[in-house]
Amino acid sequence: MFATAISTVTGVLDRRFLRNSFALSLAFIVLCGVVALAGNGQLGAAITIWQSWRAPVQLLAAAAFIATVWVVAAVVQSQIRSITQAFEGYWSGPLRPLRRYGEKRHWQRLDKLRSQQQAAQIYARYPLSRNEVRATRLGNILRAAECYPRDRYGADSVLVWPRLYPLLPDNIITGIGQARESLEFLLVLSALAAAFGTVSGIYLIVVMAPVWLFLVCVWGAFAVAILAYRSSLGAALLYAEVLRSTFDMHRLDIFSNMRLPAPANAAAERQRWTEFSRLVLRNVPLPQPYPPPPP
Amino acid sequence: MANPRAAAHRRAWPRISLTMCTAVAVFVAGAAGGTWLGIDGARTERVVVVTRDLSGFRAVSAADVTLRKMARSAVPPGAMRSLGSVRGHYVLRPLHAGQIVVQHAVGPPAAAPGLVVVPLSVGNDSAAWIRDGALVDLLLAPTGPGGRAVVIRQVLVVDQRKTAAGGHLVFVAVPRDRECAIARVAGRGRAILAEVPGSGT
Repeated sequence: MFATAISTVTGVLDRRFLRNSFALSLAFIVLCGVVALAGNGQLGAAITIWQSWRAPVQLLAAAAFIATVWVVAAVVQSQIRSITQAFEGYWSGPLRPLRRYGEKRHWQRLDKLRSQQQAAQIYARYPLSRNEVRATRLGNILRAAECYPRDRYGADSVLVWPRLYPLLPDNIITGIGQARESLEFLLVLSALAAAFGTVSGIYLIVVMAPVWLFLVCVWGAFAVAILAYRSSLGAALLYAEVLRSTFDMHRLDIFSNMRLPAPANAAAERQRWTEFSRLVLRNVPLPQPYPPPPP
Repeated sequence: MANPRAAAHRRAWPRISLTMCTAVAVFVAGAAGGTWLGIDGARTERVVVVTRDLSGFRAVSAADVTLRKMARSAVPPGAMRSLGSVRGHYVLRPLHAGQIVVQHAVGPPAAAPGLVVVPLSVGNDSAAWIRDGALVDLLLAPTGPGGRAVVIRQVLVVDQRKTAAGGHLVFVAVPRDRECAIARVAGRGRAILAEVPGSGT
């Protein structure tokens, strides 16, 4: 019965929100609270105070805590795109030198892979154009998938994807969602672990906490952050391949749903996508006549 | 003409990934912070201090004490370093706000609420084996005509002191409603402490 109740609740609530935002935010806030109390030697007193409260007061406090975590989780959920872009290397301002350093390193690596004719590695991990190379490995993996429709078919993924997604079969959408969910979970975990390591480290220095607590928090948190980021690269490779295969298998569904004839060959397809981009961006009508509606 | 060694050195730097740079930076920052805290920890120490004025023989609550960092040279002998060792215990003498709590100022854990600590003069033979924190049965036997003996069971011995006249003063925590019985005996009766089996005295 308990398992049924849990499955009903989690079915009603968004599983992605619960896993990627709420659970991680809950762990983050609890760890911050424990460190804040332990750094001042107040952890035992806090537990004593909690135990001295009556049950109704404890329930109210727990409900207020859950509500606070929910709000924080909602903020985290809204920032998942920004978190992903931060890991992709979309850095500006004082981080620009770091971005240039990363891009230069990946140029060198791309050149080395080309000289070794490692086509499979380049396909999975780098965009074809040097101008599209990003500062991080994650950024290059995702950029390779974003550039794939344009490089192979001449289709602008930014324009095509929002129109293609609703046409996809349910099993494809589910697979894309699962791949994306795994990637986001690891990136949010990495971001929150890094935030915890930074905030707790500064706090523990200020309150002059024990050395062991400081080292566990800082080194432990950043070890988790780095491991989570490294793990996200595998999830990103899977997600990118799912995107590429979806374009390969279903890109022409857009033309069929627009009641346009399928292109005859690769060159014609490139031309068709160019015309499609002009239609979307500049309202230039398509030259092909619409076929008569089916009887 | 460009220095080939410098050019090779510049080429070598971008081979180090940003992840590795981050890991090294975190390791160095953590080591530096840990060293700083270690040096500071060698010079200072956290001790228990009183946050407000406390009267003698009062049970210490969580809000009455806190940990405070101070120079190791300023810490007196016997200073308490654990809040758990002080909270819920009796203080044996008045303490002022900011005062460091030392071991001989801390008594046994406080008994149930609603008790009051009273001093009793007892004979040396009665109290010779009594230890602070022991549970005893208090026998109040009035001398002279009138009155009857009063027995108060499971009384906590909080502190013991010798008087200037050579007597023995024992501070015990008794229920508030038994103060009258003690007052009747005080001065004209005799208090006897009886060991309670298994009380650990």
